[in-house]
Amino acid sequence: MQIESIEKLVSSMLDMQIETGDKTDLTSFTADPNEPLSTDAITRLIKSPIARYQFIDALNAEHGLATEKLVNQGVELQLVPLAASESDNTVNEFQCSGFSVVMYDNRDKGCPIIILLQLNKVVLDVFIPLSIVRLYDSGGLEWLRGKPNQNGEVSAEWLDVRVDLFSRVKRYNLQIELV
Amino acid sequence: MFDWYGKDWLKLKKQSVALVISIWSDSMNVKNFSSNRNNPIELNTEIMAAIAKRAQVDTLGMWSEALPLFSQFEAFLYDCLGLPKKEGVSDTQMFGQALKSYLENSRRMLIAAELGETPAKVKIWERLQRLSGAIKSYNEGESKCSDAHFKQLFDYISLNHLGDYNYPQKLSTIRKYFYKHSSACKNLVAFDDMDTYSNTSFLTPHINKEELEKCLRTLGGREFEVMDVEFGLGLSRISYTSKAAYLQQKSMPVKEYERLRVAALKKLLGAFENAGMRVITNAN
Repeated sequence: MQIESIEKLVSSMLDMQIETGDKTDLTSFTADPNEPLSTDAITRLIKSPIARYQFIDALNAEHGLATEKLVNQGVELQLVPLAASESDNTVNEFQCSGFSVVMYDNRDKGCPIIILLQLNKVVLDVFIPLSIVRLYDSGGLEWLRGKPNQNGEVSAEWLDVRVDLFSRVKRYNLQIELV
Repeated sequence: MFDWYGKDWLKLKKQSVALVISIWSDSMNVKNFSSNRNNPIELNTEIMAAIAKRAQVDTLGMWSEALPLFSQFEAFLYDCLGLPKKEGVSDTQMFGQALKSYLENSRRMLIAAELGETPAKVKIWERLQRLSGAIKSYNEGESKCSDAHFKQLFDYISLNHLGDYNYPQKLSTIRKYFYKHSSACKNLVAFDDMDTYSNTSFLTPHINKEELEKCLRTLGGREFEVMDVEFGLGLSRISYTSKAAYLQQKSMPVKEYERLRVAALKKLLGAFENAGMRVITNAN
């Protein structure tokens, strides 16, 4: 089973869970999103929707703080539309101070477009271990999402031939966010 | 700790929707066998009983707070009988959307009812409205009936009118004034903001894959297939390229697929919960 499939399955399954609230110690549930989860915390998060919601709230608050910190430092988290970009090259690279995106285009050899997102150190420094990053355009299309490796890279294959990413990059902002 | 009609409202709404949809979809599935459970009165009684039962053991106070939201629920269920069919939208989706709007309206009515009416409060509302208009002109495009706007007003008042009781001094009071008086709030159609809590990818590294697969294997043949197709698990002997290909191959209506999907997820959740600690693996 692929990780993405398990993620979707577990999320859909837990989405149906209904809180009983019969755990007397639930009101005191706290887990720091910056710390590894303890077995006790994992058990509570799996058993209780409200504990999960509290944890997601805490995680989102941390994301807000991290984003604010980056914005205050003047780090760019979006690329403006690149109207003059060429799409004839096999390798296309776009970058700003927060991240860069490399697109490997070997469609003429029957391969899908490979997207590589490289987060810069300044972004990695505020990255929360439990978070994942998503790359999307201002037209609402998500290009990829995932957990960066130790070098701050996330990659994905683009399989939908009906969507031309190269024309979108000329029209829309490319943005990243922590989720 | 919890403020169920305030900061924790989304949690309460999501859980209420999950509970009602679960009972409602069960009743839809037995339509052909027993017409009683489709009767709004029966359905309302069943839902109220389920909430009341939970309220007895709930130490969080969530289900006790949920009960008043359902005071007009029977009338709502009768209204739902007359909902027009929309192409491409399932009955569950339509009911779910209507339910979310109902819950939002109920919450607003309950909060507004706390405020009461006195001439002094009307004056306070007028001042708040002027302030809201001034702040809004700098922030075009955002709804006036949003927590973001309430927070802007609260921040402004805290900075410029702290301790001046001609202005509301608490965020929750500002929200009450808007829910009571603002036409923007009365006309607000609830947008679907509940996906916020649906992504549990942070738990994936801690799920024991073997145990999860064992839970999946407890499902019946077609339910197992539907899970395999829906989530691309690659566990069936035959793999289908897409949901559409599966439906065509099996001559299965979308409604039946949806029924099987929900039933399978419920059974899977039951098996998963029964497996206890075995489903957890510490990935740290």
